[in-house]
Amino acid sequence: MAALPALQSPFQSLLTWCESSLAGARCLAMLLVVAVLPGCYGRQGNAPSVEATAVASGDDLGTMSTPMVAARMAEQADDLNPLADGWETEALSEAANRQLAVLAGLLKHPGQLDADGFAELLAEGFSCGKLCPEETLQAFGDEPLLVVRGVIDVTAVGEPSADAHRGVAGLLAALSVLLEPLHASTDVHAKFKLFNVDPSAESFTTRQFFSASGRTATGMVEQNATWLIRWVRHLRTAPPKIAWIGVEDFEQVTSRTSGGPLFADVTEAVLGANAAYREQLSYGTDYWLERIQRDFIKVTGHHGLAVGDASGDGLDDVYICQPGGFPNLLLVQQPDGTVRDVSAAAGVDILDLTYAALLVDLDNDGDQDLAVATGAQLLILANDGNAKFSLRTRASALREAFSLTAVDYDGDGDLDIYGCRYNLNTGPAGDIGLAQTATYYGAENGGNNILLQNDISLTADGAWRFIDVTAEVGLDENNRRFSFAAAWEDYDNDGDPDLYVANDLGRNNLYRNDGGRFFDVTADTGVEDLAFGMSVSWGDYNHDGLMDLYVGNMFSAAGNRITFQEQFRSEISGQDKSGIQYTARGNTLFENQGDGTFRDVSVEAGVTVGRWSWSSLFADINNDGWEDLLVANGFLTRDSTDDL
Amino acid sequence: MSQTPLESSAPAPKTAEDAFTANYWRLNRMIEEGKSWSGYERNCCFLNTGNGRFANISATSGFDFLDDARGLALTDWDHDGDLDLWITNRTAPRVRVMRNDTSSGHHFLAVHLQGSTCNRDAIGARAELTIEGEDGGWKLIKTVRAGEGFLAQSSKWLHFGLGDASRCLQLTVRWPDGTTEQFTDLDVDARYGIVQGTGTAKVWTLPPRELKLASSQPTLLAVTLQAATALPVPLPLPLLEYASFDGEPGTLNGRRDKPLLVNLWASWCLPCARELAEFSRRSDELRAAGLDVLALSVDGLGENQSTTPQDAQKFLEKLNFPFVSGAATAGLWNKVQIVHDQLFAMRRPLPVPTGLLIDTQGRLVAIYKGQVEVERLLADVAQLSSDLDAWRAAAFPFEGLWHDFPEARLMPLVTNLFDRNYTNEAIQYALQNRSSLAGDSRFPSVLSDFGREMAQRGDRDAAVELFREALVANPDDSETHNNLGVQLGLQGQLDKAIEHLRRAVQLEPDNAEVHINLADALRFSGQLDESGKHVRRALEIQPDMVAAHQKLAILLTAQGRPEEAIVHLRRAAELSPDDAALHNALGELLSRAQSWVPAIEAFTEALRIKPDFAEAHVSLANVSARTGQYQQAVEHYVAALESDPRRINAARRLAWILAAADDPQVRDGAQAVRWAEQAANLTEHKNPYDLDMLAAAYAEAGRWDEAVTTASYAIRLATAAGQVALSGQIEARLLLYQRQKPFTVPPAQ
Repeated sequence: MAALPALQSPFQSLLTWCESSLAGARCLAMLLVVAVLPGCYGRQGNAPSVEATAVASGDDLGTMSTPMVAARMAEQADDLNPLADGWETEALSEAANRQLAVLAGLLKHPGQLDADGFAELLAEGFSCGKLCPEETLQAFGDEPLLVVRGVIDVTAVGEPSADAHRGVAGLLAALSVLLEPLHASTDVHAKFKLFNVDPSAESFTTRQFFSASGRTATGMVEQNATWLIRWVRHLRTAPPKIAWIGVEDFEQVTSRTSGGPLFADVTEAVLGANAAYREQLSYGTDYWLERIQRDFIKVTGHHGLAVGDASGDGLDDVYICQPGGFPNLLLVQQPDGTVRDVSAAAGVDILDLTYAALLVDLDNDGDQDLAVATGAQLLILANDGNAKFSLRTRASALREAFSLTAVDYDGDGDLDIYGCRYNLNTGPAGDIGLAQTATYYGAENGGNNILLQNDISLTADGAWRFIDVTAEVGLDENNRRFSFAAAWEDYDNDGDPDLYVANDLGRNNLYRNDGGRFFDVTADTGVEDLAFGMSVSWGDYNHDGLMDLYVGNMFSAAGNRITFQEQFRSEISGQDKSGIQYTARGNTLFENQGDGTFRDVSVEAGVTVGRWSWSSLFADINNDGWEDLLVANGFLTRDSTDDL
Repeated sequence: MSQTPLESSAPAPKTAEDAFTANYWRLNRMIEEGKSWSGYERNCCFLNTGNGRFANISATSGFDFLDDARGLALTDWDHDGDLDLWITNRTAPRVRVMRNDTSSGHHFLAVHLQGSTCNRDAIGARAELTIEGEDGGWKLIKTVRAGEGFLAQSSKWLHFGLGDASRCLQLTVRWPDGTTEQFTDLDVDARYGIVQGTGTAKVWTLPPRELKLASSQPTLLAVTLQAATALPVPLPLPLLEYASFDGEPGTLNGRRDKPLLVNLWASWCLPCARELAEFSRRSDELRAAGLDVLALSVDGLGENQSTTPQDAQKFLEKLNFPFVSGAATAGLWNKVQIVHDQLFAMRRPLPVPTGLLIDTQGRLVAIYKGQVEVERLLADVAQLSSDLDAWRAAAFPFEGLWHDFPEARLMPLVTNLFDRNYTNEAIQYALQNRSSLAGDSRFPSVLSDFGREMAQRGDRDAAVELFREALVANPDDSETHNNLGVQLGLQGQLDKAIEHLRRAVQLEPDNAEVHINLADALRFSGQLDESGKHVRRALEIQPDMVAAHQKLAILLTAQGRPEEAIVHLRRAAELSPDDAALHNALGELLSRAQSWVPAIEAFTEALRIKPDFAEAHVSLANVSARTGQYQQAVEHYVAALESDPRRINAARRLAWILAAADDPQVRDGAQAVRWAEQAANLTEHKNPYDLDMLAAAYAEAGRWDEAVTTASYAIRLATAAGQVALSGQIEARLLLYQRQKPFTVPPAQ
């Protein structure tokens, strides 16, 4: 009989997610972003039965449906039925979401709104205030971008207004004003994201982001707002109808760029002539999952890239990391901006599953060497100056390393390498790329990150020596977390690089470098950010000469909906609950205070909602001297659109 | 003793962690079945509007692709003075290049640093640029980094956007080694290269560029579900059986002369028909390549019941199909699906047709989902004759260098077969592939689990074999020694059992259960003192261990110390108050010690817990009879016989009481005859005792003739068997019957 481990903190007990429910996996997916879930309660209602049909579909294949397959599908239907979870609010959200999707669809042609369609959605006595706030302020007015924000008294949003718009005609009028800048646009994209639901008997209220965008004659227009919608439902089975809409915030961006958006897709122009692009990169991971064995390719698709001048011609080149069975690609930039795949000739067409790579000069001889993090080890290859690479060492301590970083942490004049490890050991969950853990709040059983000290000069035999100094320099403190990423920066301006590590499922780490010796100062500096850390970027966003910190996390609409329900973990303290709510909040911007601490300014800055954020970087995209933010996001987009 | 560590099994959750793990597995499974999870999310772009706020310009930026994006790197790729983007994605296209076309009219400054005394890439160097602006100018800071964001490294060029500033006032570079240099008079919209220690910023000359990059939407090719995969490492297959259309059994396993293509098809599937026709048409080529083909129909196996294997057979006959054919079993189809799911992290239901290419050693070497081109098939077959390295290289669609080829792992197939209730296949597979599996750290515990499963099913031989295998893989596992010892003990191999249990005790001296198991084995082999030592040791470890008290009671009884035995059994019963068997055993001990009243209490307690406890009814009836409480005795014998009428001793005692008890209230001739006949029938009227009893019952029922006949026959049987005393007793009773008098002496104990 295994004894239960002692509970270490209130949070430890919070790992009892979904303990009883058949729909537990869905709860888990929904709330992975929330760290912990209450019972998901008992099942209520009946799960729909799934009729598995045998079809000779299409021309290529017939689909066999055997009892085993049918059983699977039935299980899955259980997993996905929110009512089966006992979360009535999730059922309400789903119903509201369906209506919102209809509403979004009706906004495709703002110049000719279809009154009948809207009538279907509205409850009797519908009213709303102005959807485009009367008073706006210009927040940014620097060509080619103009940003205006609504001036809204949020406390007054729910109150009845004398000049309210009523009925279908009223809504059409309000929408017509709101979408006026898009009237001529033919590619309007409108969307709602519902992130809060407040139920009551006859009606319920939802809070959602509203976004609409489209091209105009002179550029683009984009609106982002938060809407409050009150719904009524007369019958549980009938779709809810909109009784009232209020606007809590509003922002409109107008760009004046002749060619469309600020960024243009030149993928094919740059890569298109290479067979590797056509045959390998133009197919997604899911395509290959059907064709390459799971020993080599993982569902999660964590493959990065390194930019550097590998060929030494002054132009940046790119090294692309690939799943196992695909050669990593060294793409050398040509004068015309296209790339040429020279991987095989350069000796870097590594087939091993590769997560990350670095192009850095490790032996200070003036060319870019290559570090490659594979499933089994870190490979270090030397550049001979002519973009021919040869293997100099391998370090299995850095197996399965996600992000790699290089820095001269000890100031001895050569670059050392730090790698983030996620899972401690490969296990079944690791096999598909997920965390091998049973804890979602403060996990401490992850992989150990490794600092390899560059000792190349000490070896004469051509092999390059790198020594694992993680423990000796103090970096093994709190070093069993699920680390996705790290970045070095001298946050305290004392001349040596400090290290921030973003960890999934728990606290992050800030290690202060004091002359080559590290101290975990995370708690003291206020940058624990206990959430699902996935990326790190440093930049001085406010021009105060201090490096600020942007951490990629997950914003989860489902997580926000659920953790703010009274039903959610009603047994825990408000403080604990807000800790859990925090994990679904999204990305974090920490402002460096200059006194050794940071202040969380994420919400006031408006940069939390990056969704499931991977690389999130400061980048001054419009050259105005202010660091903007780019967030690359999205976890698993599959053929099946019903999201977990 | 331990939880089943089989990875994907979902045992009933006992703890929060278990529940979590179970759900986690469901989640993994759904991912493998192709569910979206935070998918269809658009990349975000936030514009710094100053004053601590950002504006959402995701759509305006054009960066808002639905891609599952991962790595993001910045570089001024086209040297037009702004930052372009390289992005890696999970989805197609797996790389995107985004050119920054922002026509801001703003200025920029790009700086490339090169270390001399510090690291050559100047990673860690901080550049502080002061540009003209309010309050004496703005300070912009940048650091040279290698690796940031997630999985990504951006360009080492430091890129400063300058806004409308047309002058750079000062650039200060603090090199990683602490030295600093300052540069003034830098032009805007320029690129400088700075070498540490030179004190000068040199204008960097752009290499000749002729950029002609047109923007476009990447064209993504239509994706077909048809997929052909050669396995770089041939996979041994689990037992896969089929039957020919005539019902002849066949298997896909084992060695064969030629490689075999197994084609799983259905007669309702058009592509299957086309494929089989193609195989027929090109049968000469296939044969010449040395390939056997076996077409197995899956008609009627799925939910599509519109066709049967006979339809398939007819189709093949019409086609004049030149290869062997037959029908797949549901088991074969399911196991092929399991094999597929273990190979691929995208577990879609297999299509028909599905082809399996099997080599001469019976291993799977390629799997074809959907129709396979004959050319592809021939190429794979030809490649089979090459060496392992060449085969492996050819198995992947692309060329390159392996630095560390992942080991093939068979364990998931073993556990998946087991979890899908293909237990025997799982075990057979594990044993047949033990050399490949031996490297897996889970192998011993999986074998041990299999052993436990077999033990639970009562298959002791299989259990013993598996435990032995588990010990080969992990010789010092006390649990397995214990389990093996127990099974050997149950088989009666006590010496071997004791050997393994002693080893288990040695490895885990503080495990009371192991001591008890060893004690049992010792007791069975007659080593009572030694057995007692281990029981007492178990009691030291766990003073309230029920089994220990119970075993000690057994030992003490055997050693003729009933009083002490009763003390321990009583303690056991107290500790386990709901264990009817314990109360019953206590009653037995008490009645042996003739402590009738406590014995009756104990039996009564056993029956309270378990009202249909036949043994307790019998025991209570026995004690009741013994103490003259015949009415109670009759009740309990009847209760015991209701649950099992074949309890002959109960029937005998009941019959004697009903026939001959000295209490007329109790006697019941008809019932006596009923039970006596039952007992006599069970011994086929050949047992003189039973016939004596039957005669007494007839007499009580007033059936004098039958009583006389039966008694006489009993005397003959007893005499023939040399049972002189018995025949004498019956003769005495015969005299009574002949005088039409029943026999009314209480029955002998």
